[in-house]
Amino acid sequence: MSEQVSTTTGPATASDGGTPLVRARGLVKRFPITRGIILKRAVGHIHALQGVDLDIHAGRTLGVVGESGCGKSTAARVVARLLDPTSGTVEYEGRDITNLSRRQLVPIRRGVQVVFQDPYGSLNPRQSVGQIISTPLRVHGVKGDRRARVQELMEQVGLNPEHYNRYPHEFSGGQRQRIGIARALALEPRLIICDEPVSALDVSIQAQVLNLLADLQRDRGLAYMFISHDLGVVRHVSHQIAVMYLGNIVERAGRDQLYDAPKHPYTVALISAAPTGERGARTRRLLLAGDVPSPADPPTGCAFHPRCPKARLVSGDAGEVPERCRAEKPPLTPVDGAEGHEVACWYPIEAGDEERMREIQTQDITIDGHDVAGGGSDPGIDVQPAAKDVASDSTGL
Amino acid sequence: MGFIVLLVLVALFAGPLASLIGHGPNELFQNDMLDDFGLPKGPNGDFLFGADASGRDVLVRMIYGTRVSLKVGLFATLVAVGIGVVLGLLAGYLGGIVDTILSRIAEIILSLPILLFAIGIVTACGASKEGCARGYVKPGVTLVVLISAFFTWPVMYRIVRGVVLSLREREFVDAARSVGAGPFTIMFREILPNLISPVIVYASLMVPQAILFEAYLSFLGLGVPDSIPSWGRMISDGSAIYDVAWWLIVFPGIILLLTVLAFNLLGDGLRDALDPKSDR
Repeated sequence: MSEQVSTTTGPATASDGGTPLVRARGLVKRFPITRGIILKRAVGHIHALQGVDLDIHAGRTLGVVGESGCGKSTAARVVARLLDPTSGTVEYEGRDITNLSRRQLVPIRRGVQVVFQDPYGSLNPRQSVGQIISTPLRVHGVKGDRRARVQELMEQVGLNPEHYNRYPHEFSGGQRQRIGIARALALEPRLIICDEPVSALDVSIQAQVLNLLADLQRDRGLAYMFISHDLGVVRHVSHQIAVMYLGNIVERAGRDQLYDAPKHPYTVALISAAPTGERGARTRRLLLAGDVPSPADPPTGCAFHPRCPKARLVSGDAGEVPERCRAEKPPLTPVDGAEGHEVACWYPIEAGDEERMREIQTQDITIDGHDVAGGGSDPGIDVQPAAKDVASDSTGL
Repeated sequence: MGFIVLLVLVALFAGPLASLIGHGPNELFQNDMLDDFGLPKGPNGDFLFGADASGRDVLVRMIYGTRVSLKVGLFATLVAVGIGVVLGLLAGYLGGIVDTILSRIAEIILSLPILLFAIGIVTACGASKEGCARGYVKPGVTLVVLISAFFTWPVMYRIVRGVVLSLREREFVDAARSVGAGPFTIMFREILPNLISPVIVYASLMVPQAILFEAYLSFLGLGVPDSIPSWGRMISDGSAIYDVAWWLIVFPGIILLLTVLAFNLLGDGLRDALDPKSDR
């Protein structure tokens, strides 16, 4: 990694009190699985969100992590009101915006903008950069010299304003993502929802884009909802982190609290699966058995119970899971002695659990020095999709 | 491309060209160009492409026929593309009941036997001098254009609808929605420009189809009136005596073939030129 990443400003505590900018409660989103051509019958549902609560505070970053398919992007789209939740509410600045019509939402959209994952798909290939960035200005009828405003925005995100008339395909991935950020900034929003904004980029470019986002937050007091599967990136940018699994938030805490003292077995496994980036470091990974269950048929009780090492520890038998984990869905409950730390688990991790869980399922993995990008002792960001298929991941990268 | 420019110029300047040659399109040269048996004479220095059974100059009639062919090809395609693109956008983007209704209509039209219906309509409208629809529609170029467009817009509609269905799932559409853009802004400002290549390509294939359609109708004697020269009509007339007067069908046939080919090639060229990713 050629560039060191500047650290996000502000303390990484859980919550700074006050009314959150966005408050989502009990978000449920089900996508019907239909069959038949003329008469479309719903034969089942994908349970993308199963009751998610989120608070996003002004000027701060909420990181949302999880494996692919865990519903984190759906959560982002529901909060951005690109999708209607099946049930639950979204409040913006204390106002319920769940059932507003498209027209009623227009003023809200000034405050909430989105940066998308795919820097190729999110820019209209038939529009010039100038047209793309000025779209929000046009839609909202912003008066004044739009060209000058667009060029100012381009400069702010590190693009050459002279490239106003170029088309997206003439830019690199990182530059395209800057175009997307410039578009999101055009209306001076208070919140930007970043849906995996750096996942499609090279590592060195990731650092640049993350720095840009951090600078913008410092200068403008922006709030971010930052979706990622990359624990390293999320750790770097977030003040607060929510861990999602199969449509549920399983743990939520301030950044340092979450990484230093994770309470949910899934979080522990995720963190242990992320490469540390240290040369020659020996990490003992906590492996999860099996695959993520289908969101069309989520497990009963705690969604994580079929793969949970802690549950097996509690039952004392590798094949058995406590009745409670199978029958009752654990609610998010505050952790004693840690402000703002919540976990949805009947048997949260205690001291020494991690070692004992490893004894059940363990594998030694050495990260060879040459396999780790850059090799600095402070990696800042990690490269790979964390936690996905760790077993086949013996080289570390 | 150059050939199409040439055709357009020929169509525009058919009058001057004819006077340059010195023969009118409906002028009869029975003394010069019909032999003792009343059969037409073939190509010579004065009549480059020979004469037809009435002693008219084939070249001059072909020059005037360019007008009919281009008019029909162009306008039939424009009308069909206009209807097809707008309805395809609506059906593809809005989906639901709009899509269902429009798609069923398109399917019904596509399942009609075109030529049979066209013959019926033309015959009905051509039965009396006043034409049909209170005299607004009379046999001739306009009627051929309307019939051709009516039967071909569903083709364009289906293509556009299909492309829109895939385009509307792209993130730039979500990006426009997240900014607060309405459905019509998204359809016409975000999606429409991305339809240019497929529409151009398929429109370029519809032009020769319309030209051929006019030729078929004229061949059956149902297209444009006899006083207006048309390639299809000329081939039709010539086919009666092609064994003694080969030039009557060979020259109009070749020009029809070349025109159809040229428009097909034009589509390819336009697609390349309109693609922002191409360097040309």
